[in-house]
Amino acid sequence: MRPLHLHSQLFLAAALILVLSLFAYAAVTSFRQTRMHREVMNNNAAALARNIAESCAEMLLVGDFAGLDSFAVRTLALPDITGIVIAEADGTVITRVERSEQPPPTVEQPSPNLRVPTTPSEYLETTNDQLMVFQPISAGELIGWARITFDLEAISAQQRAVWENSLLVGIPALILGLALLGRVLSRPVKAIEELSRFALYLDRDKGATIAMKPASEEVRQLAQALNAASVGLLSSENLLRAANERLAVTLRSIGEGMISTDTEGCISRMNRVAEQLTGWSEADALGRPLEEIFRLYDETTGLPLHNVTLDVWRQSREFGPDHSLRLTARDGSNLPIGANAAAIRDDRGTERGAVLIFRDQTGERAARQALRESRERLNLALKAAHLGSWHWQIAEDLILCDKLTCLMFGVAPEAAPTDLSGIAALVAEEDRQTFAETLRRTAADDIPLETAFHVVRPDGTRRYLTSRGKLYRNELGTPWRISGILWDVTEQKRAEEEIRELNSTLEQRVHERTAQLEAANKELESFTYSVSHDLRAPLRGIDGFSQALLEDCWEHLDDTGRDYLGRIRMAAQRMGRLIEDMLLLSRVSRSDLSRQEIDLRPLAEGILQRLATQEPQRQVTWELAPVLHAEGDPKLLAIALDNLLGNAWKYSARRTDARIVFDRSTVDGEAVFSIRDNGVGFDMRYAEKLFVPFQRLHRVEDFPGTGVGLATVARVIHKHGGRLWAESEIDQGAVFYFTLPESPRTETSPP
Amino acid sequence: MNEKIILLVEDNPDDIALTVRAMEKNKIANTVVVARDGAEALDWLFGTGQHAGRDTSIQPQLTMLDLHLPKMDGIEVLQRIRADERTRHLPVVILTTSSEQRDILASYDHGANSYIQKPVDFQAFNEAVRQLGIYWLIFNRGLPG
Repeated sequence: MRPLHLHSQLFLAAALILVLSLFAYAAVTSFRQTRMHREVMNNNAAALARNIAESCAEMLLVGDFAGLDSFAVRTLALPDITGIVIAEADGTVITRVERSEQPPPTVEQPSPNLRVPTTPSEYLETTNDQLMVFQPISAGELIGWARITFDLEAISAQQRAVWENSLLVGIPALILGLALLGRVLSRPVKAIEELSRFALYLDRDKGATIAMKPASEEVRQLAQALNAASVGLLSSENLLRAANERLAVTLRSIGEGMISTDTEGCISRMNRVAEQLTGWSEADALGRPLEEIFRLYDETTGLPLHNVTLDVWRQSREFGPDHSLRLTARDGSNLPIGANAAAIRDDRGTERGAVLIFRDQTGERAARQALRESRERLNLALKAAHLGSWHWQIAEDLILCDKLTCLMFGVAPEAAPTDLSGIAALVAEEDRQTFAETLRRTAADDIPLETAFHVVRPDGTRRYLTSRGKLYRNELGTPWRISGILWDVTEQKRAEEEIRELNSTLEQRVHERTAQLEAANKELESFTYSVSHDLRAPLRGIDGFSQALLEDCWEHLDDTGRDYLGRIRMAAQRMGRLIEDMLLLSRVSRSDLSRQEIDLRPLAEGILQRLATQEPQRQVTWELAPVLHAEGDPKLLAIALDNLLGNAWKYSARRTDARIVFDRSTVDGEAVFSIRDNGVGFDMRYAEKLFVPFQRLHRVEDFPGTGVGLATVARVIHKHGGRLWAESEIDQGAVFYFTLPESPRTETSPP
Repeated sequence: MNEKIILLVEDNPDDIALTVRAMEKNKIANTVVVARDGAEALDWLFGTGQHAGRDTSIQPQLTMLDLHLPKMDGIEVLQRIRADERTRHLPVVILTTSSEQRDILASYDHGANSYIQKPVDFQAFNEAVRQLGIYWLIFNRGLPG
């Protein structure tokens, strides 16, 4: 049932109170007046009764019953008395007078005896509208009883009058009061209604205020309180929103994964990193048990850690860095992580869930591993390089030396001094002061430490040591410690001195060597020169006179003699060619290189044309790449091409379809020239002998030659900084490759 | 006066014999004066030493000069020839075994008229001498004597 309107409630309550109080007032007034009347009446009645009894006593004593009757009648005339009975002591009625409405009072025959009271409490007897007073009549002794009956009508009338008066005054007053009440109540109630409406929409219109004419101080206070609450609500909501926003941003932006669970261990929130690391989206993971999403394994044992996880978050313990944890993501991939967990409690300390923070430790562990390795490497390097290390804690004047440092100072590690003066004492006397000063200066002025000094070891050996170090400051910027390395440079010093000495004599030795070299060169040159001249002259003699013999003594010689002479000539000529080729090779070696741009195509064309002219009976086709640009010495390259093309020509002699191809290709950005023939080729097993002077892969009878040509080619190509190699198969032809690197251009010609 | 003399400056007797033989074979009938070293050549040319009193107005039609000579080498002989008024314009052909670049250069630098390398092959040598004779003794016009 809908509760009554506040106004009605108040009104009804007030009206009820008014009516009740009016009624109560009337009732109380009436009751009190009635009692008062009764008391007065009783007293009056008692007094009257006593008077009557005294009046009657004499008459009764004398037995004047008529007098009693007339007395009774007279007495009855008194107002309010409605009846008088006079009886003897035993209750025998003597006179009974009753007032009736219509018939006049009559004397009645004494009939039934009067019931006399036995105790004084029975002297008064009240019926509805009557009061009966029993009065003993005594004359020294009880002689009779008088009973007087009073009418109580007057009291009732008075009572009614009171009621009537009350209503007469009360009802208009009530109406007026209610009207006033209604009016008085309506203003605060309206205000309260307004305030309640305001309060009702406070949630919606946070921060709004209500302005009203205060109906009362309380309403004003209430409105003020509501306004304050509204503003407070808005600001606390803003604060809450900001805090929420901050939290969300924090969760989004922290590098750690965050998972929170409810008390059942089911996921209630995940941040993006957690999504990435676990492979679960927050939407998928929400409400699922933590164990399903956050699958942890102990890296060393490979065992799952579900229970541990739960246990940990329930106990708000942290995973120490010693735990090697591995997280298995949704797709089954693994990654090392570090994690810690804590219970979420409300302000009463009740557990509301747990939050789990974890991060990908791949990099961290790699960094730790790298750090460990780098430290090991450093130690290894120090050890390998025979470097000692030391630290001087400046404030405490505490020096810590490693084993190698002690060794260099010539003291046992356990006997090593631990302060600066102690260490300085180990330094040779002449360097001691400088040593200590250098260290102090580094400590004071932050000058990088670099000092060299001698030490005299206990066994008397003198060593020369060098130390370098650096000053480190603490967080406050005050010099804290110097760390340094130390190494023994005795040998180095000795070597340096040797080098210095050698250097001083170097120039002289260079001069000597140069002179020797020059002499050797000259000797070589003159040797070559004599070879060129003196070795050939006898050959010409041999050849010439053999020929002369053949011409002049033909008829004296038989066939064998002529054959021998022919052989002598052949041998001489062959030796002549050998000398010629050797000279060429030596000339190539000695000549200076003059590089220039050159097109090898016309050069090759000329060589091939010449060969064709020399052996017109040969059928040889050739193919030259359209562009055969190279950079090199034209004379030397001509010698090389002469040999290579000559070889190709020579070794394809047995073919009727001999073919020579001179091509240029680019391999790895390098120009590679190739000269290919389809001649007899050679056995690749002997390929390395190709470019050695006087080494031949074919017999002279098969293919004439001295075995110097390819050596000369190799000399030319190598002189250009290029490479030369060959590929072949027997009877499948041969390919000779060579490269000619371009020299770096150091200058450009001015315009 | 009209006889065309060939001066052969050569120390190697084999080469002398072969050169003379080649000339004979090629019907070069000119008088061949042989000097066995540079000094002798200059003596003959300038009428000094063992050839003192020689009529120096008679100068060779062609001088064949080897480079490798005892006492005084061919280049020096050439220098002296070119330095003297009487012999400045003599045709001098260097006939040598050397094929060295520097010899060729030095020869031309000092005024050689031609440079011929003596081949080992006698037939080639023969041919060289033949052509030499034809060219210098028949076709070439020297200074009017």
